[in-house]
Amino acid sequence: MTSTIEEIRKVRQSRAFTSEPVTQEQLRQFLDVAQWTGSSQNTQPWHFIVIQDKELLEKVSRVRGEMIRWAASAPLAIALVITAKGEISGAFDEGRVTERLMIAARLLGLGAGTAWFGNTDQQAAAKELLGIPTDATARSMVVIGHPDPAAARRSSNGGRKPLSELVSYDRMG
Amino acid sequence: MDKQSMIEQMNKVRQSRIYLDKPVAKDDLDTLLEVAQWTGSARNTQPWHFVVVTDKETLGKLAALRSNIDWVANVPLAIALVFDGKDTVLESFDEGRIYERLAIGARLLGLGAGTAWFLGDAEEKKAKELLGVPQERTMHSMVALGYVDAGANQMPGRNYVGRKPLDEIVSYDKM
Repeated sequence: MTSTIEEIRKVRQSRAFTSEPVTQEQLRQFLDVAQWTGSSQNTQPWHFIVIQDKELLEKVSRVRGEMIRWAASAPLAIALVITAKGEISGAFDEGRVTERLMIAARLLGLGAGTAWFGNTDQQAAAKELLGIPTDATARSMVVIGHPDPAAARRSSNGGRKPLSELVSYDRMG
Repeated sequence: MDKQSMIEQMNKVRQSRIYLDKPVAKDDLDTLLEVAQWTGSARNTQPWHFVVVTDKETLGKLAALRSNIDWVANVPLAIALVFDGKDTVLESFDEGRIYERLAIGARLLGLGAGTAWFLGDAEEKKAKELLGVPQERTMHSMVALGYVDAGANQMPGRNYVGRKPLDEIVSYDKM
C-alpha cells in the first residue's frame, strides 16, 4: 500500500485533545473540505455550525450524560445540520462529510472524532443550545483538535453554495 | 505526495460515471478494500459486507434496474455495500463514510469512483437477488471504480483493535 493511501486507512476516532488551539487557517481548510463534499444530485443538504466557544462546547458535551463529555476537551467542533428530504440519503451524506473532516484532520496533523447527540430529547437539547430549528435534523458533530498523546498511548460539478450560506459561528443564523 | 496536496486532491473528488474499458489492477482493488475495511463504525460493529462485481453480465443486469444507473453496465468494477439492516440511520452514515474513503482513495490511485443507488424495496430486492444477498440484509448502493474517461461528460463497549478479516467481508461476483 502506498504511503499516500496509508494516511487514509489510518484515520481513527480521537476522543482526547490537548489545549492547543486549531488555527483559523486550519479551520478554513476544514470548511473547504466539508463544502466540497459530494451529495445526492448536488443538493448539498447541510449546514455546518462551527463551535469555538469553550463554554458552549462544554454545554453541548453534557446533552448525553457522560457519553460525549470527551468533546469538551477539544478547541473546535463542527455540528452537522442535515436538511435532506430522505432519511437514508441524509445519513449517507452526513457520513461522507464526517469522513472527509476526519481524513483532513489527520492530514493537517490533528485528530477528529464523531460525537452523537443521542436520542430525540438529547438532540433537542443540542439544537436548542446551537439555535437549530426544532424540525431540523441535527444528530452529530465532528470534534477536532490536537490529539492528547497520553490518551493515544492508552488506547459537480456545478459549483457549491458559498461558505457564508452554509456556515454559522457558535449559533445558527 | 505531500499532505497539503492530498487535501487538494480530496477537494477534487467528483462522481464519475463514464470509464475506460480497462480493468482495475488487483493491487489497486486490494488497497481500496483495505481502505474500506478500516472504516470506523459505531462501537466498531463493522456492520457491512462488500460484494465486488466484475462480471459483465451481472453488471448489465444491475444497470438495467433503473435508467439513472444504466451507466453501471460499462464500469469495469463495482463494490456493492451490504449492511446488517439493524439501524437505518447509523448504517447509512457508515455507508457514506465508506463511500467517501473509497472515492478519495480511488483518486489518489489515479482512478475514479461513482455511487449508484437501488431505490425502493422492489429494486433493492432484485439487486440483492442478483448478488445472492439475503433479503434481510440491506443494500442501498454500490461503488463503481475504474479509470475515468477524461473526454466524456460525467454528468449524464469499545474495541478499536483490529478488524474483521477481508475473507469474511469480501465476496467476488456473488456473496
